Amino acid sequence: MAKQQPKPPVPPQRKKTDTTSEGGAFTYLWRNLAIVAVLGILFLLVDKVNEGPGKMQELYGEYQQLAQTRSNPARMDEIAAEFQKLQGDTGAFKEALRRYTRGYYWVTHDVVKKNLEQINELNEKVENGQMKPLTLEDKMGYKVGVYPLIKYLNETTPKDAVILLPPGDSLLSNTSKWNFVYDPEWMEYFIYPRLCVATGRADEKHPELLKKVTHVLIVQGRGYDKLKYDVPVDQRPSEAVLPIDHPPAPVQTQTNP
Amino acid sequence: MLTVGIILCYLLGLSLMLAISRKYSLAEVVGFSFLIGMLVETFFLFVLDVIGLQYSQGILIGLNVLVIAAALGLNYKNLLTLKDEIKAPEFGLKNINLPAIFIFCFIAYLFYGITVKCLFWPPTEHDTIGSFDKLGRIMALEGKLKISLFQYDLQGAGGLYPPLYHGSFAYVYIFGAEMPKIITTLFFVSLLTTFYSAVRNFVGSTAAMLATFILMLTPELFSHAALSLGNLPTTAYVSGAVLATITWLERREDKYFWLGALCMAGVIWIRSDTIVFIAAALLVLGIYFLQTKDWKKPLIYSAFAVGPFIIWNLYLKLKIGAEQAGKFDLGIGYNSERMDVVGGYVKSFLFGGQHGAVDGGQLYGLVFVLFFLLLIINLVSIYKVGFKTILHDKQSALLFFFVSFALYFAVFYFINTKVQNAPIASLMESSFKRGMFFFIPIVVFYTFTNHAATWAFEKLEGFRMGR
Repeated sequence: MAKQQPKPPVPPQRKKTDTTSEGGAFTYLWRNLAIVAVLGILFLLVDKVNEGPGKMQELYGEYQQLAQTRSNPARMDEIAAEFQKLQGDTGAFKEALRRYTRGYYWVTHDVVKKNLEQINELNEKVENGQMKPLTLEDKMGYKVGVYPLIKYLNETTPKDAVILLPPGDSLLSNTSKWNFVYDPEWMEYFIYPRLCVATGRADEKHPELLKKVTHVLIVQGRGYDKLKYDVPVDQRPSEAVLPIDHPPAPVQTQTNP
Repeated sequence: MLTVGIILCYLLGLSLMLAISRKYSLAEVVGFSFLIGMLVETFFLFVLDVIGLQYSQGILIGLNVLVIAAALGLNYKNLLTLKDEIKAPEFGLKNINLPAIFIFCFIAYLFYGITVKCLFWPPTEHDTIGSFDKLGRIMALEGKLKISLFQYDLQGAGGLYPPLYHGSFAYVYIFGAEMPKIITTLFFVSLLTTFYSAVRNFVGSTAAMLATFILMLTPELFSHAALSLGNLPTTAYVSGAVLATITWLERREDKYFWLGALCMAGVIWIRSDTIVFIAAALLVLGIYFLQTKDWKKPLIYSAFAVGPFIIWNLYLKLKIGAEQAGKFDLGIGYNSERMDVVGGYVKSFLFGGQHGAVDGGQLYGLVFVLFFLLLIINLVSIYKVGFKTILHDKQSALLFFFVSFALYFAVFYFINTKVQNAPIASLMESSFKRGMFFFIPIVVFYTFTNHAATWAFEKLEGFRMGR
């Protein structure tokens, strides 16, 4: 039987740092806070470096507004001077950092902070009784310029109506006022279960739908030529929803319902 | 009722997850429950349409309860042991990670801000008004997937997309939602939590939280967390699928195989052009097969990944009567003009700088630059740590990224601009730009879990813990 080997002497080991003991806890907290501080400084650095260009955008917006009204030339000069000063605030390091971090500034300041401020402002007005609580329709009205006309269309046409939309030319497209009023796929969202047809594109795929048109959406005075009756020129509102076959009595408009 | 609908969706996902495994982190439960739950809910909507049953709260609640009960019932023996495995969390000082908490506070604030914005304003983006929200709302009203608007081509372009995204809108409308934007918020939570859990599997919580923060803060992606467009939800599925698959390949834990396969089904059930990720996944699984000679798992995974694509295309052909043909123009061969345009935009997206009306640095911040920087650092470190170490280091993540990105590039290079009715520059500035989201979780994952980063974060963790 093999003789049992004596156990090798255990070398004295350094006691592990006990992070829960008083001294260890302090060291642990200090080390953690050091990392937090470095992270905080990095975040602040990114914020500061992008503050100038961010402010330039705000100043540009303010300048544009003042330029339209020409109400405050002194402030316009001030803005121009400040703008020039900020424009000069460059440097290789700053520019390199800005190239990849200005989006983060936009996220924190424009997307989050400004939106929260705007929403809080609206909520405060509601709480103070300065305005009634916003419904989904009210909010849609804020965001979609043409929404009041769409609402009017829904109120004045039957649910089985087929609406002929105005043509999507340069007068209507790319404007915040009219949005996509000429686009049947977009308009259908608002007017369902009514159907709609685009002027000029109607007979491409579904000529049968064109034959079923019951109403014409008049925008910017255009669309009267699609009606099967004549409306006197002095009675032609620029925006209206009119039956295609027969004149309404009296002519209904958004402003004269 | 909306709360009931959402809870049912989570419970459905969770019950299926528990059938796969009992052990999940809290972040995995929160993230994957919703992704899997909504995938199955929209599959229910699809099946109900095919068999001609009109959607209603009652039918959906019944289906949910049935499947949840079946999944839990079949698995009850396993679940009985759950209570013995749940341990109360420890609250010692050494468990408090101040840097992670600090970053989490930023994440929480930003999440709060974007969620308030998301839930306050109704959806107004052109694509959601003209397509997704309209489809979802009318699906709920008419109780079917093929809504009446298909008769006059008024459904919008999204009508030909697989039904997961607008189906999720329909789901919340059926349960009484006034607007569908809660879906955006839930997908955003899922993206963040599944991503955090995936990174956390390889590095400490400080690094995982920082990675999640970098992912979340990506400017263009973050702004979509207040919109109702399909790109962010697709990113959530791509992230869940790819990162779970990578985790399975790295750690060989079966639960990640199933999570990856299920989410990959979601990837193709939400958009068809994400087929590029299916192709990359099949390549990665092909390599796995060559290494292990295990053919069962690649076959099962392929069935999950390709099945929904086939099912949807059959539905399009047989029920909708539409075919997605002529989307590509392979006849252009090598066209230097097209290559310059597509290449120029890609360069701007990946490395920053202005091209056309876009600036990659403004859109994606540091994510791609950090990725390439870490890739170079790892290549340089070959001299120190050896070629094999770097070659095998997150190999599947790199394969996923480079293969799927090359295919995505090819999709846009060969795209038929006449069929799309838009010039290539416009497609690059809209579709391609948003499609870049899908790659962000993969590159951030690699950036924080590669050999060099892991070494650096270990040092940092050592300093933090006083080791």
